Amino acid sequence: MNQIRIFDESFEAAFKNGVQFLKISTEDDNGSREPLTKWAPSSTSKLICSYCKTEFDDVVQQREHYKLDWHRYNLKQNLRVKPTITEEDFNEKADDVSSISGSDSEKEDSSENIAILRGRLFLKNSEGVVFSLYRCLLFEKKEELCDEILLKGLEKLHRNNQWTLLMLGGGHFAGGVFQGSTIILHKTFHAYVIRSGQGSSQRSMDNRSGSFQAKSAGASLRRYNELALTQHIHDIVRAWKKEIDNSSLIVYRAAGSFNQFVFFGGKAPLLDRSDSRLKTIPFVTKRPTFAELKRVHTLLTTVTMYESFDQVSGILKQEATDSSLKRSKKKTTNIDRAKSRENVERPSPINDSSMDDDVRVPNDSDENLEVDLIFSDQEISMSSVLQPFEDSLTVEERRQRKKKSKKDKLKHKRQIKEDLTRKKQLYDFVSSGHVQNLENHLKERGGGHVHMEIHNIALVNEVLDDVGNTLLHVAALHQQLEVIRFLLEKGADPCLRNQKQQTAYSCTQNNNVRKIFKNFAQEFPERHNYTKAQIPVPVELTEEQLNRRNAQRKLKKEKDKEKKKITQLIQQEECEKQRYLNLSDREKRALAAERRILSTNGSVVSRCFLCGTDISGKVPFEYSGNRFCSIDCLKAHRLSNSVILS
Amino acid sequence: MSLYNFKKIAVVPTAKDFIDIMLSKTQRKTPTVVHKHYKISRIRSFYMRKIKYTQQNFHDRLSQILTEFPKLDDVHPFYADLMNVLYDKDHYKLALGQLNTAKHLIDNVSRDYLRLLKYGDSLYRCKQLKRAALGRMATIMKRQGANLTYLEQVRQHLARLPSIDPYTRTIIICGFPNVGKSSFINKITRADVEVQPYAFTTKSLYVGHTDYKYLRWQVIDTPGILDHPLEERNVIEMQAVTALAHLRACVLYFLDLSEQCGHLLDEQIKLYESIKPLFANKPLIIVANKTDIVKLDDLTSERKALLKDIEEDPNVALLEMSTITDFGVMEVKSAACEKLLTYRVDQKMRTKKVDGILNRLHVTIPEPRDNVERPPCIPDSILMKKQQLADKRKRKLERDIELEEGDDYVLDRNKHYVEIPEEERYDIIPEIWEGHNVADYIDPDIFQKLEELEREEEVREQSGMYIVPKIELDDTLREIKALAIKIREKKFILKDEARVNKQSNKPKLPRTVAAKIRNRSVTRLRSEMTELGVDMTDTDNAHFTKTKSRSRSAGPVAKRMKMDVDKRSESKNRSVSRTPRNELGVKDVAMQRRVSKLAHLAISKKVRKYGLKGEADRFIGTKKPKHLFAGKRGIGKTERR
Amino acid sequence: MAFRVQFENNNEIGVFSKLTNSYCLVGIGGSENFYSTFESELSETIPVIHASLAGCRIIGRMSVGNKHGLLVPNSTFDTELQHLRNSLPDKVKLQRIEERLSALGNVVACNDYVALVHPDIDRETEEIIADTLNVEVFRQTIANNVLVGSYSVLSNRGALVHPNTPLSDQQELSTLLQLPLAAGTVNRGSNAVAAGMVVNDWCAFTGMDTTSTEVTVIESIFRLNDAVPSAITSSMRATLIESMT
Repeated sequence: MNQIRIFDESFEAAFKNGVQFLKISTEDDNGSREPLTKWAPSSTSKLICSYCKTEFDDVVQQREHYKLDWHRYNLKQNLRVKPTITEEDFNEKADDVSSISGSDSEKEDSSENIAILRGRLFLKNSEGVVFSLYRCLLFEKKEELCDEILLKGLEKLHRNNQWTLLMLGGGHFAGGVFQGSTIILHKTFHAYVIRSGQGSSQRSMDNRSGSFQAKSAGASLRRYNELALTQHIHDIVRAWKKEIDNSSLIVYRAAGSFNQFVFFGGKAPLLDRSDSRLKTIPFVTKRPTFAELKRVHTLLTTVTMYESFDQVSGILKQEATDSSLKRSKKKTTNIDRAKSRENVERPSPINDSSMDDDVRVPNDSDENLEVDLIFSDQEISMSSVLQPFEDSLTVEERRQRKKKSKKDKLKHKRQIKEDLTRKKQLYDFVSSGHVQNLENHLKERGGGHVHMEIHNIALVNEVLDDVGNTLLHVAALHQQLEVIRFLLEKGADPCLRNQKQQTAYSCTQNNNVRKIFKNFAQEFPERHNYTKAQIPVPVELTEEQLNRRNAQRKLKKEKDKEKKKITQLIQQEECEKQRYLNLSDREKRALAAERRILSTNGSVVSRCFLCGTDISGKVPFEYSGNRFCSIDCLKAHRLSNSVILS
Repeated sequence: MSLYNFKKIAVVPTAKDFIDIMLSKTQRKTPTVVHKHYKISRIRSFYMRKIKYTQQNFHDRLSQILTEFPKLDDVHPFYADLMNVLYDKDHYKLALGQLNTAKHLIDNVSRDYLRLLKYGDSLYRCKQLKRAALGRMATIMKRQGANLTYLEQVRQHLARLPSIDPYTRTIIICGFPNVGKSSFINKITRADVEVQPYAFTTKSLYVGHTDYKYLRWQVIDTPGILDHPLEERNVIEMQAVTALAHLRACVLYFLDLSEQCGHLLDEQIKLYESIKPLFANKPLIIVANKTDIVKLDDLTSERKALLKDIEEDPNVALLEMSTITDFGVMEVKSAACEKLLTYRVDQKMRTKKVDGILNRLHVTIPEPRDNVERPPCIPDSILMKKQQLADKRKRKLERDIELEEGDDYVLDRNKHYVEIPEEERYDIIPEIWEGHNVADYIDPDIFQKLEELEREEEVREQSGMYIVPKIELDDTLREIKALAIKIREKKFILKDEARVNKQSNKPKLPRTVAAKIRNRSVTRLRSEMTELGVDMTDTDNAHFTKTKSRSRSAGPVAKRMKMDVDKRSESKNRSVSRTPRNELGVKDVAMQRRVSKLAHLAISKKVRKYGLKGEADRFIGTKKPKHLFAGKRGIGKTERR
Repeated sequence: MAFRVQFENNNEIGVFSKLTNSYCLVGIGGSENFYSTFESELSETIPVIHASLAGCRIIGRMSVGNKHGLLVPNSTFDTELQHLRNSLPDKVKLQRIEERLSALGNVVACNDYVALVHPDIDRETEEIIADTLNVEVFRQTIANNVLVGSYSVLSNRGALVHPNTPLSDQQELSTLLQLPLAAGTVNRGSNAVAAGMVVNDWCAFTGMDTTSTEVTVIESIFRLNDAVPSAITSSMRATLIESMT
C-alpha cells in the first residue's frame, strides 16, 4: 500500500491504459427468480399439491407430503405472495438456514456492487493494480458511476491541478488556492460569531422577521461580527476571483445555515451552487486553520495504490463484517415455530456466579468480540474473598479477567491465601497485646532485608482487615497501650486512615489510648504531621494571649453579676404579686384604699384586682370599686363573683 | 334500506310560533335582572347577550330547517322529480332560499344592533336598542310566515311518502284507472291499498314487499293514467309517470279486457303506445286482467287484432289474470320477478362486478382420492324421525278422501274417537230425558260403585246384621222402667219450679259484701312457691312475671302503619267507637240542635259577606290587588325586562 | 335442517358452541334461550352439554372435535375437564393438548375423516389430532389465510369455505377433503364462516343475521332438508348474483 498524489506522473501512468470499477462479487445470490406462474399438473391426477407443485402416486405419499417442512415453507411463501420453491432448493436452503419458518426477511439485492469504502472509490487499471481515491472528485453526488465519465474525469483531474479550498466554521475561515501541492494564495482569520449558550437560538430569532431580537451587548457584538465576517470573506474571495476561476475544483466546507449563507446567500452569492466544480469535503475536518487546510488538500489529492487485490478485498471484507456486526446487534431473534421446543439446559444463576473464572464457558458475545481484544497488565485489586458479583462488572473488565492466564492466576491465588493467614496471625498478636510475639514476627519478616528500616515501616503500616484498619488502628481499638507505644516507636504512621476516614487516634474514645498518642506527639513533635493524624498537641500561650483571656473572664463575670441582679428583682416582684393574689377580696380592697390614701402623698404601686399585675401609670378598668388591668380580667372577676354581687 | 327517509324532519312552526319560541327561549335562558346603577359595561353586555342569544337561536333553527329538507339536486332523480310534481320545484326552492336570506338578514340585524349597543349610554337606551333588535328579527320572521306554513305542509307530506328504494328490485304496476292494479298488489303483498269500484281510488304511490327466490321485491302501485299529453296530466297521474320514468324496474301494464273500467280496449292500447317510451330498456309484461269476465280467447276478432302487435313483440309477454278468482296471479308475479331477475343479472354480468363472486357460484365436487368410504354419520333416531315425517306426508288426508268421494263426501268426525271402541263410536246418546240433561247424571264409575255396594250388602245380609233379636221384659225391669219415667217427670217439675223461684231483680251481691280482694300477685306466687320448696331463683324474667297491666294508658305506643297487628293489642289501641267531631262534647240532643243551628248561622254569614256560593266556595276575587304589588320600579317587571 | 340462533344478541354462534355428530357443547350464557334451541333439536339423539373452557364461554373457538374425540387447550381447568368427561359419551376421547396456538377451533377444521390445520401447528399436536380424532391431517391455508378453522366449516357431507377462496384452491381442498365444497358467507356477508355457524351431518345452526340466500346455500352444500349441492350452481345462481352485488 503506497500513496501517491493525483498530480504525480505515476498516477497518470496508473490510469492511462484504461481503468474500471472494482466490483465485489456477491455470493448470496438467490438463484433464478421465476415469475409467479400458474402451475398446471401434467397429468389429470387428483393427488396434487398446488403449493409445492408436485404430484403424488398414492395417498400415503400425499399424506406424508403434507407433513413436510417443505410444504409448510411453501404455504408460508404463498401467503406472502412469493414464489414457492422446489424440494431440492428447499433442502439446500434448510442446510444453511436454521429457521425455515420463512419469516426472516430476504436480503436486499444491491444492484450496486462497485467497491466504495468511506467515500473512496476503488478502481482497477488494465494491469490489475488497484487504487483508491475520493469519489467526490470524479462524480456528482447522485450521478451514476459509469466508465466513460470515469476516464475523462481522471484525465481532467490530473491535468488541471489548480484547486481552491475554502473552509468556514465557528467564525474561523481558512481559504487557499493550490497549484499542485504548492500554495499560491491563502488567508485565515477569525471573528467572534459564536456565543456559547443562547447564541444559536438568538441567531435563529434574528432570522425570523418580526420576532423578538436579543438586545444584549453580546448579541449585538455577534451580529456585528457576523456582518464583518461575511464582508471580509466576500472581499477576500472577490480578490481571488481570477485564481478561483482558473481552478478546476472548488472544495469547501461550510456546515450550518449561517456558513452556507456566507458562501451561497446574499444578493450576489460568492459561489454558484450549480457550479460543477463545487465539491464538499468528504471526511471529517477540524477547526479551519492553515494547517488543516493543508491536511485536507493532501488527503484529497492522495491516491492509495494497493499491491494486490487480496489486500483490497481484505479491507473491504473487514468493513463489511464490521457493518454487518453492527447490524446483527439490532436484529431480533426469530422464534422457530417449526422446531419442537426442547428444554435447553441452562445453568442456574447461582451456579454461574460461584463458578471459577477459568472454567467459565465462553458465550457467543465473547466469541464475536474476540477480534479486537486488548490485553493489559492492569492488576485488579481485590481480595478473592470479596469477589464482586459477576454481573456488576463491565464487559471489558470481565474480558480482561478472563484473559489472564491460568498459571498466573493460580500463583496469585496461593499468594493471597498465604497473605491472609499471616494477616490473621498478626491481627491476633495486636489485639491480644503480645508485644513480644509481634516484635518477633516483624523481625522474622523483615529479616535478611538490606534496608531494614524502610521495610519495617512498610510492614508496620500494613493494612490488616477489609475496612482498611492498620496495625495501629487495631491496637487502638483493642486498647493495647503497649502495642501502640511499640508500633509508634517502630515508625507506624498515625496519619493513615481506614475506610471510615478515621485515623488511629480518632477511631477510639478511650482516654488512656489517646493519652499515649498525645504523649508520643509531645515527645516526637517532628516525626509526623499530627494535625493530619488528628492528635491535638498542647500549645504554649504567650503573655498577650493570657492577658486577653483574663480580661475576657473578668468581663464575663461582671455580666453574670448584672444578670443575677435583674433576675432577683424580677423574682421579688413575682413574690409580691403572689402575695397580693393570695389576699382575700376584702383585704385587697382594704389595701387598695390604703394605697389610695397613700397615693395622695406619694406614688404607690396599684395592682390589678384579679391577676395582681402592676397597673400604676396605666388607666385602669374599674368595676364596683375594684381596678383591673384589662377587660378580660374584669370579665373574669365579674363572672366568678356574680353570685356575691347579686 | 332506508336510503331516503324523510320522516325525521323536525316540525316547522308557524311564524308566530317561531317568534314565540325564540323570544321565550331568550327570556328563559338569559339573565333577567339588571339595575340602573350597574356599570354601563355590565348593562351593555347584559343586553348584548340577549341579542346575540336570540340571533343564535334564530340562526340555528333556520339552518336546521335548511339542512333537514332534502336538496333537490342531491336526492335520486326519482325523488327529485316526484317532489317537483308534488310540491312544485320552484316554490320549494324559493321557500328555502327565502329562509336562507331571512337567516342572513337576522344575522345582519344582530350585528348592527350589537354595534349600536356599544354606544348605549344608559340602561334605558340599551333596553330600547335590544327591543328594537328583537323586534326587527321578529318582523323578518313574520314575513316568512307563508314559507314556513308551506314547508310544514311539505314536511307532513314528505313524511307520509312511501319509502321507496330506487335501487332495489322493483315491480311497477301501471295502467288505466280501475283496471285492478291495487287488487293485484293486495294479492301479492301485504300493502293493503284501498280498493273501490271507481276510478282514481289510488291517488298516490303505494309500496308493498313480496318474496321470491329468497329475495325481497318492492312492488309499487301507481295511480291510474289517462291517455292525454304530458302537459295535461294532473299531479296524480304525474306521480305514476315519474315512477315509470326513473325507476329501473319491471313494468306490469294492466289491460282490462272486459272494458268495465270505462275505457275501451283500443283506448288502453293507445295509452300503452303513447307511454311506451317510458318502458324502454325495462322488462315489460302486459297483464290482461279480469279474465273471469272475458277471456283472451273469447275476444272478437277485431279486438284480437288490436292485441296482435303486442303479442308479436318478442320483448313483451302477455299474460292473463283474474284478481277475483286468483287465476294467474302467481304466474304473473313469478313471471315479472323472473324477468326482472334475469334482466338485472344480465346487466350485472356485463359489468366487472361479477368476477369477484364467480368462485361463490360454484360447487366443487371432489374427485375420489382413494377408495376409502366416508359415509355421513347420522344417528338412527334422526333417520327414523325423517321416515316418520315422510310417512305422515303419505297418509291419506281428508282432502284426498274428499276428492275421492266427490259430492258424496260427508265429514266424518266420529272416526277420530280413538278411545271409544269402533262399534260404539257411532252410537247416538240422548241429551235431554224428561227435562233433565243426561250429561249431568253421568257418573263414569256408576256401575262399579253399584256392584261394590251390592256385594257389601250381600255380605251384611249373610252375616245376619239385619236380624232383630227378641227382647223379653221381666217384672223387675218393667218396674224399673215405670220408676224411671216417674223420676223424669219429677225432675222436670223441680226444674221448672226453680226457674220460677229464681226470677227476682234483686242484686246478686248484697251491698254489704266487701269488695273482692285481688290478691294474686307475682310476689305472692314467688313466696308461696318458695315456701312450698320450689326453687324460684332465676325467675326474674319468667313468663309469669309478665302480667298484663290493667291500665289502658300503660299500653304500648300504637304504631299506625303496622300491618301485622296482633288481635289483642288492636282491641286495646283502637277506640271502640269514636264520637263524630260535631258531637264531641255535646251533652244531649237539645244541645246538639243548638250547636248545629249556630254553626249554620256562622257559615251563612261568612258566605254572604264574600258573595260565595257556599261553604266549599274558595274563590278569591283579585289574587294580586294592584295596590299591594305595584311599586316604584319602572323599566318592566322583575321577571321581564 | 338449518336453524337461526342468537347468543345473547350475538350472531357469532360458532364461537359459543361446538357441534359434532356425537355431542354438542354450548357456552354458558346469561339465559338458557341459546342452550334450549340446541336442546330441543338435538337432546334426543346426542348429549347437549353446558361447557366452559378455562372459564371462557368461547368454547367453539378454543376446542376442536368430531365424532371420535374432543381436544381442548391446555388452559382448561381440571374441573371443566372432569365435567366434560362425565357428560361426553364414553366412546368420545377427550384430551387436553399443549399447543402454542391455543385457539384450537381457529387453527383446526375437521370432520370425522379429514382435518385441515394451521401450517405452524406443532408436530406433536398434529399427531394427537390424527390419533384422537381419527383423521387424516393436512396443513393448509384457506384464501391466503392460516386460520383454517375460522374460515371453513366441514361436515361429512359438505364444506363451506371463505368467500374469497379461488376456484383452483377450492378444487384442491375438495379433493383433499373428499367433500363437495362451496365458498360462501354467513350472517349477512361475514367471512368468518366458522364463527357464524355450526353444523353436523343432519342439522346446522346459523347466526340470526344470516339471510335466506345464505341459509339456502348452507342447506344445499351440507345436504340438509333433501337439498343438493348442485342447486347452488343451477337454481340459486341468479339469486346469488343478485344478492351479492
